[in-house]
Amino acid sequence: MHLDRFQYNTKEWWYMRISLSIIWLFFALPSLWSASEISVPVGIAKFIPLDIFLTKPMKWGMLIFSIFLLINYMKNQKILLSTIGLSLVSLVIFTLEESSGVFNRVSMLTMVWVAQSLAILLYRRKEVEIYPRMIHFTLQIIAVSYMMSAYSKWSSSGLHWVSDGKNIDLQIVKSFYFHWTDGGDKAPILQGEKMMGVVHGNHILITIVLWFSLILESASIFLLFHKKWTRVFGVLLFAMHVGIYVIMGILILPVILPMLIFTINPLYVISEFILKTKILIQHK
Amino acid sequence: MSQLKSYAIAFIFVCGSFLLGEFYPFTKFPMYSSFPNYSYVFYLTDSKGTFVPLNKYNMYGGAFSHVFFSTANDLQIQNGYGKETKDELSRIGQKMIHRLELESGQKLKNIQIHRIHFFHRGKKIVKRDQIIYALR
Repeated sequence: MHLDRFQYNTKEWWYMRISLSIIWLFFALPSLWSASEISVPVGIAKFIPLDIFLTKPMKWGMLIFSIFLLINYMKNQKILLSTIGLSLVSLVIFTLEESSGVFNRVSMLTMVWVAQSLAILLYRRKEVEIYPRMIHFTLQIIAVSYMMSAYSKWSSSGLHWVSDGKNIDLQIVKSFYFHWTDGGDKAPILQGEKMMGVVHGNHILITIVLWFSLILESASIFLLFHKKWTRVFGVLLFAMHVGIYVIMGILILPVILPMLIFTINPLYVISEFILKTKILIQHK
Repeated sequence: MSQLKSYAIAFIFVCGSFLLGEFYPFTKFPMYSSFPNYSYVFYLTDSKGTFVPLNKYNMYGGAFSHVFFSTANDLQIQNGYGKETKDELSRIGQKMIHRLELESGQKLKNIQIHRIHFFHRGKKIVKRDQIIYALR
């Protein structure tokens, strides 16, 4: 693996760390606070009694510990201990959440910490700057997640995944009805019916979109080979998620946000844009 | 060997997901891996049949649907395509109410869970609405 194709400056890495810390807390905090019972044990909850973490003192303890670890991680201090600690805390919090019977697709939010701690463990004595490895290991989790998603489609449905796309209207109607069941507003139902009309009237377009998604997910390994490709895939995968949101009303943020942070790094892009604009204005 | 080390985490995640299956944080991301000829939506009404929003109980539609499927799988009830029996639906419904009580911290009464079952018959979408569980 040629890391020279993955050159990131320390500012990029800083924005990645800040963004990841914020979004992790954004998902972990409500998951931790709302955890109330292990009804359908998943993962380690099948073998280890995690009920102790459902008590208020333990929840406060975990929150304070998490914030301590995140501060260290953001400051790039005690980075190995921080990432290992965050891997464990994340594993417990999201296992509790998934054991409630609700699946929020939060696998990536734990695996990113595992990936970064493993990168440090494997390369800390060999490389002067460890962070490009940490970024690349995180990208591996992102690429493999999309590939696994493609694998599930190929293995469950094969080429029928696209031809069965005629049933996508049932998923669309479901997604829009979900919004109605939340609060009682009937507008989403009408929106869903409109979208179904669009889908029924554009069968060829839907087939192309489904093929695009399947090929893109299957090929996401290529984002690991060059930083330019990482960005291209970041944009394409983001476009795919926007398409899924528009057509089906589904937004899988725990997957989209880590992907965006490590492929496009939006906060860094915005900061650079502001900086360059300021320079341009000053020169005028 | 060095290539394997460079891609160690990808290797671990793939192997873990294949060997352990859906064992958090390992997963093969099975959502929408097929487009079956059915979809379910769950909603609440009071005993008079008046709509009750899920967010009143800190719940939302997608999550409530997950609770249905994970409970059905946990109880080893075959699910989907409307093939659950009345008794099976009632057992799942009871657990869904329990989940609502946990999420909201309220003791519920006079509440009904409805299931809308959408499916294709020919070119038409059929919509079947039934009460799967009623708590008095």
